[in-house]
Amino acid sequence: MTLGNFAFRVAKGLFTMEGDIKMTGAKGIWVFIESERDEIRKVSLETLCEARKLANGLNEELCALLLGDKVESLAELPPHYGADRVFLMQHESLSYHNVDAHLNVVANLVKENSPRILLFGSTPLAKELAPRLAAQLRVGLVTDAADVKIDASGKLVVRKPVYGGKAHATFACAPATPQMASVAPGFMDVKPPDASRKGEVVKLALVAGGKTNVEFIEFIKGDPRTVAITEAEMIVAVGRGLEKKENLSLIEELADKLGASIGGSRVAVDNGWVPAERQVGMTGKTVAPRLYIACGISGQYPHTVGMERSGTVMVINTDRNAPMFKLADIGVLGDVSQVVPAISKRLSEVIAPPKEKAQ
Amino acid sequence: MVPGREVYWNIQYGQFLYVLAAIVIGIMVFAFYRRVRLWRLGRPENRVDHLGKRLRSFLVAAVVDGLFHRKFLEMFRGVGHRQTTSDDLKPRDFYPGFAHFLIFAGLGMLLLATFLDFISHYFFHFLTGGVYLAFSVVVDSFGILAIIGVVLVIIRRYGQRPTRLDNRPEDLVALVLILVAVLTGYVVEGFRIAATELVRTPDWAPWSPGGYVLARAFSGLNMETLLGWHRGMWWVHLSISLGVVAYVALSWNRLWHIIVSPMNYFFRSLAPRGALSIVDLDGERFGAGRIQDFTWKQLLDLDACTRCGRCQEACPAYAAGKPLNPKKVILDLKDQMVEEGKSKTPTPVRDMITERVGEEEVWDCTTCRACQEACPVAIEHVQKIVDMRRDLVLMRVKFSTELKGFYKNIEENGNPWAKSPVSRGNWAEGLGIKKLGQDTATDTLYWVGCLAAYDERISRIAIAVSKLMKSAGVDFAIMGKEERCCGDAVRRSGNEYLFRKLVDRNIEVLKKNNIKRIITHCPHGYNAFKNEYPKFGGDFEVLHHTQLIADLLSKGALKAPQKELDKRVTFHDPCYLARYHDIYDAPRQVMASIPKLDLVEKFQCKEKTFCCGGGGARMWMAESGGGRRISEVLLDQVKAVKPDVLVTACPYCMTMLDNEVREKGLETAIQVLDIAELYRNSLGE
Amino acid sequence: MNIVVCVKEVPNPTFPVEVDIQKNAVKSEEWNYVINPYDEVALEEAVRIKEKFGGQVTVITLGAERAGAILRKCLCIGADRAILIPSDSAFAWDGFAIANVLSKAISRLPHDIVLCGYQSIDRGGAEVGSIIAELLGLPVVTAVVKLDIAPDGKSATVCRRLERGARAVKRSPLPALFTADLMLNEPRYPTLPCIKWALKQEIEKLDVKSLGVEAGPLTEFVTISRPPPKKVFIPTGALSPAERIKLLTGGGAAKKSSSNIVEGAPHEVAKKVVDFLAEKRFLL
Ligand SMILES: Cc1cc2nc3c(=O)[nH]c(=O)nc-3n(C[C@H](O)[C@H](O)[C@H](O)COP(=O)(O)OP(=O)(O)OC[C@H]3O[C@@H](n4cnc5c(N)ncnc54)[C@H](O)[C@@H]3O)c2cc1C
Ligand code: SF4
Ligand code: SF4
Repeated sequence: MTLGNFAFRVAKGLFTMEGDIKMTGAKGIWVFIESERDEIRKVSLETLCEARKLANGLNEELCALLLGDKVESLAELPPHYGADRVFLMQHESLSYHNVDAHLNVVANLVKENSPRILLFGSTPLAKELAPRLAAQLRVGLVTDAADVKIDASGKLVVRKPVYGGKAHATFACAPATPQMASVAPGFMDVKPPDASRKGEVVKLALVAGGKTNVEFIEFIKGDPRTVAITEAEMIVAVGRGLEKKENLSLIEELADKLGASIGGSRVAVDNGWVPAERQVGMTGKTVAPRLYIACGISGQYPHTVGMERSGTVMVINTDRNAPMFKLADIGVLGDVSQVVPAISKRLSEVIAPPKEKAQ
Repeated sequence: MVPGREVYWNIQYGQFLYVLAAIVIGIMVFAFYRRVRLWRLGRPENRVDHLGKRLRSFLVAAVVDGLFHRKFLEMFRGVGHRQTTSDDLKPRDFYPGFAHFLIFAGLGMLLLATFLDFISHYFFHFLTGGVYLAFSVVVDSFGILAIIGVVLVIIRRYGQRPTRLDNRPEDLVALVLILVAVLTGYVVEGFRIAATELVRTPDWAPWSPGGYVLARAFSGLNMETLLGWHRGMWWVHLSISLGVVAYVALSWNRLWHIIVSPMNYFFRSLAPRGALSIVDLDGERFGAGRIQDFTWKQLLDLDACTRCGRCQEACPAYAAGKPLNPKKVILDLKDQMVEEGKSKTPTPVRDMITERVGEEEVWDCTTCRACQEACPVAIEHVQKIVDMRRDLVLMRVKFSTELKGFYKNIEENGNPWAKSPVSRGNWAEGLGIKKLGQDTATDTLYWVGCLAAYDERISRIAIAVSKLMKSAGVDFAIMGKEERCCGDAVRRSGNEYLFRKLVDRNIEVLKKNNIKRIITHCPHGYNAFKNEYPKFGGDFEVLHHTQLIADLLSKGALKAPQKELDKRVTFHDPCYLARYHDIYDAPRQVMASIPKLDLVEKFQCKEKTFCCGGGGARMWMAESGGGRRISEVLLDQVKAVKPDVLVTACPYCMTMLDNEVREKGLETAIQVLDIAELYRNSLGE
Repeated sequence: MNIVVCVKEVPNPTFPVEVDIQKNAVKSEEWNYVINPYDEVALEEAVRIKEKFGGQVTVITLGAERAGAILRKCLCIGADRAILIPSDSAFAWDGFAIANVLSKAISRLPHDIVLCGYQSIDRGGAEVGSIIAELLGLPVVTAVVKLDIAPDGKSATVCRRLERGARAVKRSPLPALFTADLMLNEPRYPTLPCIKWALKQEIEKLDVKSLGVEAGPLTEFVTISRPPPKKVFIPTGALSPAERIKLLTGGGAAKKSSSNIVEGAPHEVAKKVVDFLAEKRFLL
């Protein structure tokens, strides 16, 4: 792979820093920040907040690496979450899907700046980018971390779920720097932002694009309403307790608010409430979404064999003895037609009107 | 003068008959030979084993079923147990059975008469005097009965038009031919009587009632005319009769069933009903994807079919509106056989499964065996369907996604779901049940099965069975996490290879633990251990829990139930218990021991039971091909007797019925229980 | 079109995972092993490509001798050649070390396409494919749900799975490496004649030493532990102390508790439910 065909120069402008990036040796923690339409992705913020703790422990600088096409407006945000410095590089070739371009840029930046630690949030981009980068640099990488620490000898020690989360294993990176990890979403807390916190924004320019092997053609938006039930991350499933087809609109409202897909029991399919390819269970599909909300489903074995590997299960049922409650992380004793609209209402109060989400 | 009849009276060159007959017999032999060549498209199979047994049972069947038509005489079935409507008491097949009996008996008698005439004429002159008159009146009346039979059949076929019959030209041809042959016989007789008896010995004439009536009609004619007509009609009758036979022979008319059906019965399978054929895994082809993959006997079956439609009427899949129709399967295969017999190309014109029988049809079957139970000529449908599944699974891998998951799970986990084999014995935790190898040296194993091991509803059956066995002092153990799928559904879905892996593994473990006796609450496992495992070296004494409970109760080892039930109870006979093993008294004995239990029988019970829809691996396949669920149709039958409790003795039936009852919102009205649970609930503990 | 597919055996995911703290290892005595489902999908795709374009499919695995069993399964599905690189310590290796060995082996084989599973279901690294590509200098697209080879065999148009059903369509020149997502296809069930053929095939063995691998792992295994206790949301606090302790000590393996039930007026219930969803980070 061709290296070093980039030239950087510091852009003078609105931001504070002037001059070349100093060669600091293996020092500092870098976090690769990703954005999703005008917002920094939550997992990047989680990673940033966790990295702040590491930086405090090391007493080293925490830098945010913000690359992309038109991301300038976000550059002031990472300091609110703890970044000391922001490296900002904007170029149309740095679209989210151009992994090759990202790889070339980050590799060069790292080589020139030798950070001690480089962290990613575990996203589709990072999953492709981080291993390639680590291989190119011959440094250690642990993906999908649930916890990152630095041990006494300065090694990055990472704990991650293995065997489908049934155990956690801890790995330590070799001393070669940067030591790398990607952080799985949902494990770390995001501190409330401190808007008064400012950091310097270093604007870098990409002068010449590197070799791009894989060409990006198009982005196809995902729609929870049409995505295959087996791929859905959240499922609201209905059963006989829905009682009538008219109530389906209540379920659709909840599903849309959550960004969830709709599935159902065999009864729901028989009644024509849910199409047959969305039947969950023994003679339907086997699903394992992160969240499964069973609305008026009693939890007979032929149904539960199809969903018992779901991450979190919520059950809404009027019958306290319904077997479904045995699988519930949270159960609601109540009527679907009352509870579901109440939840939807509450959700609208809590979450801002949903923006068009896309990469 | 002594009553009697002169053979070849008024006929010249009568002996020419023998020449004609010889020609016709030659034609028959030729036609038969052509058919034999078709059957020989099939693979070899030994169906002349146990000749003595075959002959004996053939003769018994010939007398009981053939001469007396046992199937239609079954009108007394059902008397003795309560059913809902009095209509149900009528044997469903009375009308067609009766009509067939008339034709069969009539033609049989006429044939016999001709034969006796022949004997009497050439060898031993016994048809004289009173004997002759008696003979004459019997034969003549039977001929009339045959005509009545034909008329009844015509009314049924073309007037009533029951759905189970498909009318083809050959049916009408056959009926008309019979009618013409018999009627011309009467005409000949009528002329003879008019010319002889009516003139000379009028007292004798009424002893041939059929001919007598016609003779009276002809009696006005002068003798010359009568003799002429008689001579003419004699030859007409002769040529028509022989012509009919020749035509029937060459066109392979359905009347061939007169010969092929008994043949088929003779060569029928003597294996236990629940034992499927063994696939030679060292061979090249597995299952039946072409007509040549069937055995000659399976092809003979196709020609034995009389198109009576009994199987169609009995088939639960057909009743539920699925594409499967067992009669059509047989007829489609027959068409395929004829086509491939003619075809000169190495590949079939139409693919037997996908283009002839239909894939959906092949997968719709629950292997309930209702078709075979109903078939009057011992045709074996289930084996053929399983053979076609074997081809789809082992050769073409054309089957549903659900089945793929089912096989994969069984391969990897030893059960149909992605459940850990390690947790297989979890249901028994805390019940003090012994596990093999750990703390026991018993030779009695309680085989729990996949459903009871993982489905909480079915585990309750296992818990009831273990508790009652413990209370009766039965020394038993379970295999716990060593247990794996018994392979019944795997085999019936066509995956013989996986089945064999399971069998080998299970037999090895059972033998290692010195198991002699297996008790199970699952009729499918029962069948597998009883009828299929022995072929692979696993011989065990096998007991179904209904048998065990009945036996323990009668011995007094189990406490007689004390608590009065005072509820309407109906029993659903599992196919693999009732129809495959004739076990239907044991559960009823158990129910009879419960005070005040009010047993009402469903419309279809015992060996006529209507399948739940779960057998033959159907439980793991999604519904397809439209129609209703078989369990829905069954539930209709259950609802008709308005029971408070629905009892069954099979985990499949339990799964299908329990869920169906709930889905129809009947869970508070109808309680679904296993016989073991019913017993334990009645102890009053 | 010559295709190399990297496969791996993984413990059957239905088996319980119990950690032996003393030995710092999982108890694996009762386990059986299956082919990593992602790899099986990759293989199926390779076989389909072969059926369309011709060529040879080679499967290769780095693992215990036992892993020969899954290679045979691959032969059943349609691989033409199976190569085992025996190593008893492969599990202790990290993604880089494994990829390093595999890339050396692959470089000796003709390859127009290299296919890997997107991730393994035991370690869940989702990295080996990308590292192999990097080491071989191949273009790479991961988590592929659709793979179309151009008729001239010079490039491939692929669909990459993103989150929440979104997709990115990309085009890559060949040779390239792709990692297969589970949605890519549905692996076939082998025919019995194929199974019988596969049972007769020989599994080639390749010695790690002969590959001349210098670089070792870049991360080291430290400990394995039970998953940290799940944060159990107890809106009513109705759990008995015993149950609470069980939940805490049992970690993620704990039986879910049916006593975690909320009831009351719909709007109050809704508040608790939404708090729960927020805490579990299900709100966008
Ligand atoms: C061979 C076979 C295969 C099967 N395959 C599948 C399969 O793949 N998938 C599948 O789902 N099922 C399958 N089933 C059916 C399954 O066994 C159950 O019958 C079905 O899942 C029940 O659906 P349900 O929970 O919606 O209905 P029910 O079991 O009738 O439960 C309805 C529930 O809703 C509750 N309820 C009622 N009204 C309200 C209300 N207003 N608010 C809240 N709760 C209410 C009730 O308390 C009850 O618990 C199969 C069955 C068989 C026999
Ligand atoms: S076995 Fe049962 S389901 Fe199958 S064809 Fe015969 S009657 Fe129909
Ligand atoms: S197979 Fe048997 S029952 Fe069915 S139509 Fe033919 S003869 Fe009648």
